[in-house]
Amino acid sequence: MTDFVMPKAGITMDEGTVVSWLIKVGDAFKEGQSIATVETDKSTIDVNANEDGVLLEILVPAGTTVPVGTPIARLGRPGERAEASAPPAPAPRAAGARMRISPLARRMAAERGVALEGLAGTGPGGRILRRDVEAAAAARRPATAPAATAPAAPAPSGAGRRVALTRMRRTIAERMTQSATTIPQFRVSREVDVTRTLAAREALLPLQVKLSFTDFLVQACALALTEHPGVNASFAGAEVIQHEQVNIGLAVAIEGGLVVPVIRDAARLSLLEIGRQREALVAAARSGKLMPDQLTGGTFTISNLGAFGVDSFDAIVNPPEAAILAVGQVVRKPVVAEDGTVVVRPMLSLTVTADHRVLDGADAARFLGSIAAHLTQADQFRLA
Amino acid sequence: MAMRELTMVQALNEALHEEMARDATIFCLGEDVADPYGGAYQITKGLTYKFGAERNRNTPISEAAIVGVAVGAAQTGLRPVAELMYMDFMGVCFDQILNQMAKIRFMLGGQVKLPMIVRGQQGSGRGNGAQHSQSLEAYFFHTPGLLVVQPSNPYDAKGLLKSCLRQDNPVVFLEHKMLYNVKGPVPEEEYLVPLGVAQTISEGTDVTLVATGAMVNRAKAAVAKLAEEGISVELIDPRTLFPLDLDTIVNSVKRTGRCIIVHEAQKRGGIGAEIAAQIMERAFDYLDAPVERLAGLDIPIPYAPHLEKATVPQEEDILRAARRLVREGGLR
Repeated sequence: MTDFVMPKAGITMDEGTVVSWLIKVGDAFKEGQSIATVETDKSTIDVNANEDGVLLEILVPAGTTVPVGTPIARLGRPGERAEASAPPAPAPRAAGARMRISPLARRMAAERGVALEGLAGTGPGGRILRRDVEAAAAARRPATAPAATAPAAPAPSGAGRRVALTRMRRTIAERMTQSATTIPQFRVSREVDVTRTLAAREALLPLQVKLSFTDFLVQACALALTEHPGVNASFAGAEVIQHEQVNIGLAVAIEGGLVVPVIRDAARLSLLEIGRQREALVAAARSGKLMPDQLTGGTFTISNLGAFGVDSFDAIVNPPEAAILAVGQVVRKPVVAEDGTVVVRPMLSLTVTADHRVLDGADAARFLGSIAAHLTQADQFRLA
Repeated sequence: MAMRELTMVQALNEALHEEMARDATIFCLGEDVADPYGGAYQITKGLTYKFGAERNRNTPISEAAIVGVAVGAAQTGLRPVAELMYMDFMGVCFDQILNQMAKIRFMLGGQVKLPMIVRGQQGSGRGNGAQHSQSLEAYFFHTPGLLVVQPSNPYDAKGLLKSCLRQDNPVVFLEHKMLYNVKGPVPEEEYLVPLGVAQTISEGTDVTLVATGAMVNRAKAAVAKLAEEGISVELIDPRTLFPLDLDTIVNSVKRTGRCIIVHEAQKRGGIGAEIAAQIMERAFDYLDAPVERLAGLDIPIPYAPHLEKATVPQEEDILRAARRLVREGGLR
């Protein structure tokens, strides 16, 4: 099947009008046969077929003007039947198949901070090409300015120290603006009694690898994401893509900003493996040595400001992920126990921010409930 | 006034006349090259009449002797131009080419120069059968020590032959039987075409098309048709296979992200494979699709005309490949 395009019938011709189709859909034609009449600003000409074939679909009806090079019909080989052909949609990737992406597209995606996971490819076998990355990058700029009629925010006055935007800062600005303005987000939060998780961590301290509380958080989230595959997902226009792997990004504060290195396949990793990866990724992040493929492919993000004394906060969804977890510090607080007495327990504030196009309140609540259950009971953690 | 048009035969003949007048050490030898016959393809016509029988001489039907004599003559101060009537006959003299011509300068530690040219025609399209239609540049390309030149038009043919006659290394100069009578503009004034410099025939942005020999004219026709369809092609003719102007090709691919290489010779181990590998090595991160090769089928060339035609890339093949590459992102 090939596209039949509006031909450039003259040096100065930029567009042409289809005057009439000389054959109908389903008709066969021979090489050299005129199949349409086209009008340019200079003349009206008959357009001939380059080879034998059959007219599968008329894309531009009579009376319409299109630029030179625009496909105006779909032609098939002789004998092909005209079926209702779908528009050239990106080929869906077979579940579990390796992601196909051209080297150029991969490089452009890294340079422009375009996430590859969830990106639809229009190349052979669903290969992601340069044009797909360009389309994704262009789509990040909001198509309609949300406050088109609102007055522009007043520009800050000139006095003061001017700091030029680094590429990282610019990327964060772009992505967070896109997230905040194009994604409807809501939050669910709860406080979790992490006594048992802390005890589990204590018990493991004599081991070689020092497990941080983050490692338990990662595994708790990985377990919860496996139990709730609808959260390990991305909104993709006409569909929601539920990702095969759980790849958890950890927000790491570094000099001049923030990066989110990804622990891949977190659901299959033991606590020890998570700990090792977390240590390596954070070290690489702090020394500026993260590789582009350590920063892509995330399906969920954890952001933890507990170390800075924050009790709780709301994170912004990190597109194209569907949800993000914001973690505060562990605070020993008085709580009411089962038997009505007041006891002091280490409490942790967790807030999930979710993409409402993918998840409803109940979905997010149930997911948060699973995370909470794993941290409270601490009986599903896998050390090795 | 429009530039005059010559056939490749006329252009090559003129190059020999001019150079032999300029340099008395140049002489031609081969089967039937002397006047009155003037060569099976008339390339050497008039040279015996103008320069004498010693400078344009017939040989026995012995390619090994032809090339062997040239190797000896070149070492001792002359500049022989040895003609093989069909490049397919190189098999008979391949030891002289491979083991003597290509290696003597190295093995003698540079004590001799070897300013010689082995020239002849190759290619299919005349129904000459499997043993008289081959494109054999890959064998020479693979042999270190040889320059390999493959002009696609009269202008380049004359300019390159003259350049070859002004340098001191051995050259295999590959002409094409179907290009001999194709006309093209050739200036009256003296000019040279440098070795190792590719020609960018058309500039474009969507795909780089590298074509050699007889494929260049097919590529040009395809490029014109593709432009009407809104596909902008950058067409490059390497002109010399060794030294090969990889820089021009790689810089082009870095801009377009896509490349098609088309040559008449069989695909397996053809020069397209080397060019594709080098593009992959030097421009991997710039490729939006695998490099495509359009080439002859990996079979001996058939005798029947319709089968002979089906064995080598046609204009239609180039069109189809370019459309698929640009619109669908490739073949596989």
